[in-house]
Amino acid sequence: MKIMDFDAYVGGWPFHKVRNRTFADLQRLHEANGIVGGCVSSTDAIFFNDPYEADYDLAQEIAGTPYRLVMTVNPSLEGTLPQLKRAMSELKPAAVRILPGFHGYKLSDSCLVPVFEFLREQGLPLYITLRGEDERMTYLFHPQPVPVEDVTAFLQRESGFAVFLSNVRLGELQEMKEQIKHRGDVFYGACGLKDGLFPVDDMYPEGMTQKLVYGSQQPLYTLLSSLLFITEAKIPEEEKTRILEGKHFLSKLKA
Amino acid sequence: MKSNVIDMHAHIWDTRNESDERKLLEAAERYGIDRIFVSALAGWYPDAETVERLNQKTERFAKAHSDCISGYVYVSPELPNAVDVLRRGIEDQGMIGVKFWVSALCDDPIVNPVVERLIEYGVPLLIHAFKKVVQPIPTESLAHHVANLARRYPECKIIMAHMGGNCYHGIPIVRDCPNIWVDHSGTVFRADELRYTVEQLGAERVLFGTDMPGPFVSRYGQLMEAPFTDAEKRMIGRENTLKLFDTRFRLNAKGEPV
Repeated sequence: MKIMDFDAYVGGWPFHKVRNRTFADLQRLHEANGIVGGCVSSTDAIFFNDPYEADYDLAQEIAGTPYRLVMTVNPSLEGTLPQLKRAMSELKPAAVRILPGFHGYKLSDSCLVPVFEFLREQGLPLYITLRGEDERMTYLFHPQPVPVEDVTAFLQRESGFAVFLSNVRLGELQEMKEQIKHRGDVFYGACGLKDGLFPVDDMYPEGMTQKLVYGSQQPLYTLLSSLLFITEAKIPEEEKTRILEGKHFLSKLKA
Repeated sequence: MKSNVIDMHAHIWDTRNESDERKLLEAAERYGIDRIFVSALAGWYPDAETVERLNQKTERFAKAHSDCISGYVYVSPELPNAVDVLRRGIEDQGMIGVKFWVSALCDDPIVNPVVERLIEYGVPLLIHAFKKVVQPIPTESLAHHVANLARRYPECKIIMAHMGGNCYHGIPIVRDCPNIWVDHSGTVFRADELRYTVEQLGAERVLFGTDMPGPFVSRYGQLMEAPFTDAEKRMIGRENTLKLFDTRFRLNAKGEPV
């Protein structure tokens, strides 16, 4: 089995020490857990005035490895579209990540219109990070989780590009399941599915594991924790393999 | 999977205890948990009748599955019969520790009679403590409340649950209180909090707790992924708990083992 981590980060965090912050740390941890590659974003890109600076460094670092860049943008910055265009030849991102709760806009804001149009033109998937840390534990800066109703409305309104919901909770997915069911190109990662003892068991009978792919949010979250939720679930082995290899999502990434 | 751990912090909830019991037993089987320490909880401020019912549920569950379940006696220290609830829990119901939740701040003088009695029994006191920025409860203890109690009663074996919530704020406060241990059922997300806590307190003061029926594997993953020695993982996973809950393990007036 070729396990892929579709939702990893490289970098530190402004509010506490991060011990596995480098790309080498990520590769070492992946190797120890049988993970052969995946998609990475830069944590610095979340906080930098110009996210491109951080994305550029990470793109250089992962070049020639089995990892692809998920480029971070803040659409409320006027320079976002030019930077996206520049990135296509320079960074060659596999997807684009937005963090509305961190950058202070809503999924319905007009600043996103040109970004969505660009994604359609380029065939780029959109990662939507719904939260960062546990919202009970934030310090100094308190990003708000993206409301479920905003995501639901977004999924009804926007189409033409694949969507990856990052750091979504099981309860939120259950609220959105009708909208997700009608979209073949909406996926979600495993790192936020920590509601209760057996969340993946609970998802399987409802068909909700079909669009689940493995993503750790390492180094902010514990990789092994989200991996064990899948490997220890009481679901068919072939379903676990489908989730962990993520071929259904892999095919949506920008080549 | 055979985790071989003792999970010293789990719950059954009053209105869904049968479902929670099934889940805990399933988790014990699936994850190879050696033993689970359980307390029953209801609302924030249960009356005496509710407290009695909660402890009966814990007693019944523990006795029906004595091979893998042990119980805490839940005490609301502000209730007039609190000491009697404690006495019945330890002497008659076979409970192995005492649980304070959020009905009163743990350093309120009202807790003193209960604490003095549990010191006599030699059982540990598990105190919910959770610093959070979202919807804090007015009578929810924080690390400094736990430290106040620990300094008032150095002979009391205290466990600060959840690493105090935000461990980066809670752990420094209890670092110099040798009679405080912590369990690592904090946030289910952060990767570094267990390593931070062990760096601050040492592995010998950290216990494995999950807050089940919340997630087990997230906490187990945190323990197994940390670069601790095998000996440190065994200490956190079970040995510290076995030592602390042994009623022969007592502390002196300086909080040091006798």
